[in-house]
Amino acid sequence: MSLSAILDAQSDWDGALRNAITASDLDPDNFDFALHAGSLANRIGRFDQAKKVLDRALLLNSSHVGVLHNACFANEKLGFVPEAIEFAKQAFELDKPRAEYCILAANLMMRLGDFKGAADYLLEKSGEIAHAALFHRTLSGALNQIGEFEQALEQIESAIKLSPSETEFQIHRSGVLLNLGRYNDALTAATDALASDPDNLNIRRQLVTIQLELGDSDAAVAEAAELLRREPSHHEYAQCMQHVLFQRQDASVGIGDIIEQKRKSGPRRSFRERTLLEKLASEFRVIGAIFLREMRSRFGESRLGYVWVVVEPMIHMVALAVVFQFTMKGQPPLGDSFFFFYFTGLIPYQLFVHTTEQVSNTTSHNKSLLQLPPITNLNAMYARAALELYTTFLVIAIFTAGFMIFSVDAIPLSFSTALLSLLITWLLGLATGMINGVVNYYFHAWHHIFQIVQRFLYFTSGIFYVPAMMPLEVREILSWNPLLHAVDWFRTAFFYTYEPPWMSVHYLFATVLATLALGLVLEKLTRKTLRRIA
Amino acid sequence: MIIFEDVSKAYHTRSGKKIVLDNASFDFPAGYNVGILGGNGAGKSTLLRMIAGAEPPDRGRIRRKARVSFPLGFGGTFHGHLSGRQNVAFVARVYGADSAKVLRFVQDFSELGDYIDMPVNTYSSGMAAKLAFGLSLAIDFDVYLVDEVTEVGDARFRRKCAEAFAERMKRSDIIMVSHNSQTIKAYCDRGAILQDGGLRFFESIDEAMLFHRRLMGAANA
Repeated sequence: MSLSAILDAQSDWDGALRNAITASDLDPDNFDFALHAGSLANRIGRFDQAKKVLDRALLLNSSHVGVLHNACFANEKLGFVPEAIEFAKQAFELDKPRAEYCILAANLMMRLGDFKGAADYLLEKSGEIAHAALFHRTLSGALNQIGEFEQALEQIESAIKLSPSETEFQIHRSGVLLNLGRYNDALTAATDALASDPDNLNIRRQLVTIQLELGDSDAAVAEAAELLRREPSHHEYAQCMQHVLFQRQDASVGIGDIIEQKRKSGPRRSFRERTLLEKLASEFRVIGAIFLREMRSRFGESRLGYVWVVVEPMIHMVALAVVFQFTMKGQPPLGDSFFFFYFTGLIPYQLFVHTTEQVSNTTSHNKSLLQLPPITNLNAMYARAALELYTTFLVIAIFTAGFMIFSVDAIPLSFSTALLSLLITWLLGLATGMINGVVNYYFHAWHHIFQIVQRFLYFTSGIFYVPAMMPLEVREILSWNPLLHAVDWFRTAFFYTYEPPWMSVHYLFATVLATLALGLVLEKLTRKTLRRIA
Repeated sequence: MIIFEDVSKAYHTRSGKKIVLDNASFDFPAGYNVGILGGNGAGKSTLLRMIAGAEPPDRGRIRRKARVSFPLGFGGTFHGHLSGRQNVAFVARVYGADSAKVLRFVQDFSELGDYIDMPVNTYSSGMAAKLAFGLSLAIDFDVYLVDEVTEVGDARFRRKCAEAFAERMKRSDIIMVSHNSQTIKAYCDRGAILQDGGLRFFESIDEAMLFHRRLMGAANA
């Protein structure tokens, strides 16, 4: 122990600490040895060692200010702030009425963000303490943080009364006044503080804030310039200047004048609810806008984007026709041209499949679009479906022209039947797409399952055959497929000998209506949910 | 006039459910510019999107007796493959505004020059912001919604924005969310605080600010 004291005196800190700890280890019941080793360890920054011996000392005597002080210090340095707070509180109880440890405990609490705890603790102890300016300052800081601005002001004014020359107190008081919205008082306080300490840049920084609150942006700019002049490379001051300049620009809007003008110009133009007709018109306008955007943006993906939409069924049909030309000798099931026969099967099928696909992807592909309030899920669906219908008509027009060149009669016998059957197929696609869109959201695998369903429909919808070629039992089963009816109905518009007895337009309509009703109900039920993920 | 009737709204975060409005009824009267204050995560932006109509309430009804803008400078709806011109025309069509007129204004305002015919995904973020800002101002809304005034462009462009905005404000109102008290002071004459599932209105900005500071303090407690 005495060796440690000698080494201590010679400034051989490490040696002193080693010896002090050895002494304490040799005589673990000696309080002074442990305290000495602990304070020595603290002094040279060995806080973990300090904590160990101090814990020993505390077991021997926990009512000693010195050991509590050192334990508080070591714990705080090691990051055990709650323990440090406890030691500080205990030290204060022994050290009353001096406020030092009380203030320390409160500051540590505030470091943990416990401003309310700090304020309550200080208020509780205020009766037991001799007047200390720093005590009032600390209490004021805690109260200010918890929004008790009036009490904070009272406390800081007490502190200033005890210690009038403390500039930091003045700055704090000005900050409290700022919080209270007493901007002019805050300005006076800060200006007074600056007068007594002209080189204090913290006061100048505070002045900038106050002047901005007062709307005096010229003064704020001047003050910020002074800050930068004194410390040109100070990052925060540079930011402050930038902020001030932006604010000045905003302030130049002059809200006061504009409000005044608004009041003078009397009531605003009146707003009236839109009539049903106007609402409908706006609905169509929105659908039209999305339609155009969809068409253009598909072009945008690649230069050939929209051209590809038209070319795809063409290639499909040519491939099919070539294959069947060789496998099925002779006449096509209807008409004279294999190409034309497949054409009449593929057009409704592709219209259905593409419309379903586009409509079911509406929400996931248009998340950003749905941010615009006039755009609803439904009108985006209609727009995408409309684009498919438009594309189909375009494809038909191109093909019809092509068939005419090769002298295949591709003009429908009944335009109304052709149009109606396509429209009903389109509605079936739209409705199925609505249902799929909802099901996809809750059941992701549905997307893949439906692709298999599509393949299945490809073979069961009579695209490359007519149901008459099937045995009766098979046809009975196939005729449950509404798409088969749609394809057959479309074909009756072109082949006048074609009058399939199994075809039921009523069944087709009933299916479409039921699907559409289900689709609309599902859309309505999930509208908010789907929109929210958008 | 925008009327909230018994509106409830909550959103989910990783730390659990956050309530924005709880069966709240209030209205934004016409003729006032309102600055909305509130703590972080109180749902100010969600509230603004509800006012816009971009976000549906969980329960209740929001009635708008005014043409309400999308949040000012919101360019999220731009399609990257489409040109600035096409994007502007799209939004103009959606709002039933005169496309040619809107386009003229945006071209003049955003100073994009020939870039107006380039795909938006070739724009710098500053250019996209200018386009979005110009577009918001080009359409004649009764109420403009502003979510945090973004500091777009240089001082000169900012001045231009402020002037254009002031011109609009003569006839239109603003509902603004900002962390910056001075910005709110510059643009608004009324304050409102979003707190505990309700929106509380104040006659003056200073009053609202004081209340807000106390509230923020109480949150520390």
